[in-house]
Amino acid sequence: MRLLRMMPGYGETLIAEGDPALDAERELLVREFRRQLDEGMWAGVPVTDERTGRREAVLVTAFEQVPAEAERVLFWPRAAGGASARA
Amino acid sequence: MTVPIVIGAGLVAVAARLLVRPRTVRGLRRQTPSWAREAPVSRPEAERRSLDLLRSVVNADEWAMFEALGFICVTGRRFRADGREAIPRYRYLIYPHLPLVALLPRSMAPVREYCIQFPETGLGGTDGLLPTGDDVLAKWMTVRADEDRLLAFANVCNAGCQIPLSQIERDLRRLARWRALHARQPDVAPAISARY
Repeated sequence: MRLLRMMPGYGETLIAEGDPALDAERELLVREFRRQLDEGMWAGVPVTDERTGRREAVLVTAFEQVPAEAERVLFWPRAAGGASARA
Repeated sequence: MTVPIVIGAGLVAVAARLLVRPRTVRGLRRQTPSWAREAPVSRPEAERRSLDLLRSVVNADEWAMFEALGFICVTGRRFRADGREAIPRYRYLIYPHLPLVALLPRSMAPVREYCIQFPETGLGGTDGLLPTGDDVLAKWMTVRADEDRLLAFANVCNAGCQIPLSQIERDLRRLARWRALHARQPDVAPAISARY
């Protein structure tokens, strides 16, 4: 599993990577996951709907909510009202 | 005599500031967070990465739509308290760095603009906007996972407030033509980039 953060100046950047089935690596993933949420990020997991085969997304607020088979967790800054005039 | 001296002193001050300024990617001045494993990249590279990520997450037809039209049309999703899926509120046109345009699900009539951004505020950057692909992806993921959550943070105004109604109507016609063209073609395999 990889934790990726979308941010200006990077595109996405790797925060942490590990196998959540291994205790030490899970601990790292959980710590970094919490750090991102503490910084005000939203977290989402790309998933595939088994019924339709369509790609979907799930928003998560705790590491325990991340589907076990997830390969990536994406973080991005929480939404705020307003939009720039740039087209 | 005083004016040239002042101008000269100003030029010296500007030159000194440029000389001692830390090397940064053009247009970006921000702190690197402690957890970051790499330095910021150039704006074109960040844009390329963000588009790669978008392509690897959304459906192949949505990526093709974005490539062809410059926006993605997607139906919102929301859920009841018991976890069951509820009837979607709207369809949306997702443009990069522009408001979401909410459409009535059946008639596709534009009814609202939801102005939304994902500002990076904690790194001291001078350009706090996500790259194009990331902006679209953040909107897509939130709309498809929980449209009510996104709408709760947005500024709402009538359709046509920032994006002219004439542009929306033109884009809806382009979308209809694009869909008619692609409805006759077999679905293509998911576009997963080598990076993912």
